[in-house]
Amino acid sequence: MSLLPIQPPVPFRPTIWVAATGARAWLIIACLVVAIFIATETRLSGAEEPSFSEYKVKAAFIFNFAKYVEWPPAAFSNATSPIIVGVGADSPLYSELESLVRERHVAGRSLIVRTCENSIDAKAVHILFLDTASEERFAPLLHEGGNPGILTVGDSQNFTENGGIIGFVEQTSKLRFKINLKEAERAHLKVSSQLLKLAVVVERKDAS
Amino acid sequence: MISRAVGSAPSLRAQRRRVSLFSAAVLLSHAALLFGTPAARAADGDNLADMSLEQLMNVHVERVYSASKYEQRVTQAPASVTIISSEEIRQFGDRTLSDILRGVRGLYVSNDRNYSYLGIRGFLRPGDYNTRTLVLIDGHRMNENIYDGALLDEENTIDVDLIDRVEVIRGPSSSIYGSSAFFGVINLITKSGKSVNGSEVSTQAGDNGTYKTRYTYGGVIGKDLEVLVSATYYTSAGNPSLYYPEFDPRISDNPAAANNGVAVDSDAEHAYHFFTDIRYHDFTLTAFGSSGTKMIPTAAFGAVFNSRGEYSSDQSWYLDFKYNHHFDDDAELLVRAFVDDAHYLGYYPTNNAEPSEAPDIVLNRDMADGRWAGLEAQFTRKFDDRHTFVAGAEYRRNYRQIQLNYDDLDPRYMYVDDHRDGHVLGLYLQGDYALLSNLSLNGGVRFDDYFTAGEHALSPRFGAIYRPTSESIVKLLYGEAFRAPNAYEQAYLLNGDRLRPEKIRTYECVFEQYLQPHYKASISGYYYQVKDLINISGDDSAFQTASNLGKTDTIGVETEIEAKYDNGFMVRASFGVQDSDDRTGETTSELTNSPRYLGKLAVLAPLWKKATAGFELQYYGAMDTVSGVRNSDFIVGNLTLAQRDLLPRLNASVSVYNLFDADYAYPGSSDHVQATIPQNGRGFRLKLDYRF
Repeated sequence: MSLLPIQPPVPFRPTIWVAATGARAWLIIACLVVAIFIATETRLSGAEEPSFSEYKVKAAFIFNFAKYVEWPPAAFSNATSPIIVGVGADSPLYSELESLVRERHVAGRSLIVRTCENSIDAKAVHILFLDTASEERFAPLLHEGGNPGILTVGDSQNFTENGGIIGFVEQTSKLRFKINLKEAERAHLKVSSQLLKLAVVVERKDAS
Repeated sequence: MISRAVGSAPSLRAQRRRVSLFSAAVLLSHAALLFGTPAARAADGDNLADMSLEQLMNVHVERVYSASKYEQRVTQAPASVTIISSEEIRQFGDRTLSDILRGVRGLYVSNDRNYSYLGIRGFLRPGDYNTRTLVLIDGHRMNENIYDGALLDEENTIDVDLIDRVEVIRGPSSSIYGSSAFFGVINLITKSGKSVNGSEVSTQAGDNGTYKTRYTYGGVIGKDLEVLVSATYYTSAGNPSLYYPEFDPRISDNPAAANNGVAVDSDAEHAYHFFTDIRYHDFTLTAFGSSGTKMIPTAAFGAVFNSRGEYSSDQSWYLDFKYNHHFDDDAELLVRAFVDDAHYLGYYPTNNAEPSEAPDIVLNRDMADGRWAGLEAQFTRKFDDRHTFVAGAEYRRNYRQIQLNYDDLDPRYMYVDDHRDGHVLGLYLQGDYALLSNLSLNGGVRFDDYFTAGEHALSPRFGAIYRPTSESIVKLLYGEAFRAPNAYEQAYLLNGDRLRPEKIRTYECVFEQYLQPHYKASISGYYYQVKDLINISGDDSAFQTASNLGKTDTIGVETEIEAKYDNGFMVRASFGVQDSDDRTGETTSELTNSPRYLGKLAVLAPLWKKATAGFELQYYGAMDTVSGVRNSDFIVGNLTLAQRDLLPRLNASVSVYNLFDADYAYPGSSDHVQATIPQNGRGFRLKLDYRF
């Protein structure tokens, strides 16, 4: 059969590549790989932006908050008694927090996660996390405010406006937080300036 | 008739086999060394507890955008959703969008050595170009305006290295996206300039003379201008010799048989693409351009076998200008203006002589040329932090829809000379209402008017999402979608009837259970009913006719289990069973290209400092083909060893595809003499990425 009078628009198989295919190319590349994997000396770097489940990230934030907040001495029975974190009974955060704080310490204190069914449970904790669902249940507690030694953390939009201390907000799929400093002071909590610097909004006094 | 003999030309294949077995042995012996390393260290990055607040503030929270056109938790999306991250793409060595989608539950991708074709839940029409799945890049529609198709190969998508994540939304989404969102939506979300933060050079080499090089710059210029620029060049010599028994004159009486059935050096491909994304405050400007050519070794469309002159060439570009403003935390406005262009040219050397006469070879050219532009506006409002409402409008004008098919003679002998244009207006509304703290209702409706076709469609969708406990989710979903007849189908409609849009009605129930902290399981049952399916019939491509005769039913179940451990070890297994019936004629038959069983397994093992091994198995059950021959079931395995920061700022990976050298094939279409198209044996790729 006669060959066609047309040609592909580009040279598809430059001769150098043809020579490199087959067993030789395989060998060269296999050797390269071995060399690379053996000569490895790695280093940390943080250019990537991995993504995680929302509750894993929130749990890590809460663990960090514990580092930047100082409780009144009366909140603990002694210098090593644990920081108790209370979470709404059906919150998915419970298990995330549980596995995250295991064997970790903040200023010599271990962390314990507990579920909170009612405001009596809630008053026995140092950090109280309220999701949108449980916020309604604990609304009276928030409204009263000034619960000494309880750092309230929530994820509803108006959490800090409604009397909560730290509220999560989301910006372009990353988590940020607001702080209501006035409520923190009423709860006798000292919030470090580092934490205040990272907060997107800090409410210092009553909106008039 | 063609006598079909399954097998291969012995000498060539045997030789190839020996070569690849040898090199695989070399690779595997090294792999064994790697696996032998004692006590794999915990994967870094997963240790959120050790991150500072500043680091945590840079962590992405898993969200899905495409299901409802606003960001929401995956568990709250009114659809069955899968998200594939850039890390997974790297760790499993996915080369193209097709590779990524092959690993997704319920999806399957076939390839005829020209294009790749996506099947979702048992539905893949032979010979169409992904017209029933909507593909988006950052929300920009990629389906062109002739075939309404989106290409998944190297020729026509962005480089997979630029993808931050892929969102796969199963089920119809016409209620917000209009036509084409029939079986699903695939949104490619690209990396931002800021996250690239510097320059990146990537180079890769693979078997069959395949090379790919990419340069990307990303960063923030001055204070507020965020820029990403990327260019890629790809070339592949392809499989040097492909044997098709259907074209072997020794065993086939096919008059086109030649060269002992071997297509020599007819599988080459090359492509280049460009992508840039510039963001300034609320404004984003995106430009994309791509061009690719693939030689066709299969003598599809009745072309001359082993001519080395049959190929398809695709070019496309778009400009997209987006304004996205958050008024406060509760309201968001999105305005988008775009212009798109897509061009396809096929070269098909054809023998116009009768079998008894001397060959009379004429070049048949097939051409499609489309240009369109549009405007889109969408307003999203959140109430009370719990309810979300979306209202939007979209206008698209098809300036140019040209299809030509002619024999390249003087004068041209025209088979098809079709010029048309048109416009589409879509209006949509959607609401997500949290009835109780653990029960939300979702409803949406979109109205589309196709002025020129004189057609309109109304597509509703409803969903109820219930969380009986904090760790389990039940989704009940109902959807309707449509696909307007595309320009290609209208041009080939010769019998004078008016084509109506295809319609689908779907029912789905999804149950997801999280077994904290490591396990996640889901099961999904669905029933899909398609009617007025547009069938193209006729043996000769120039005399095909289209009609709304098709009718299909699909019922299926999918399950998936995923385990992730703190050290980075991950296992994900899924299995799907479905039964699709073609009820087009008097009798009911099994739908073609529809594997009853689909199985996927992915294992990711941390090896040592930032090194991972990603192993995949994909099982495709047997399926009927248009020719009546049954394509046998097969398992394909892939293995990728990836090392991050091999040397400072250098990432490397080595992949072996079709690890077990399985002999497998995908179904052909009526455009092929071959009932099935055999695929490549074991292959490899080495990839290096350097940041500076």
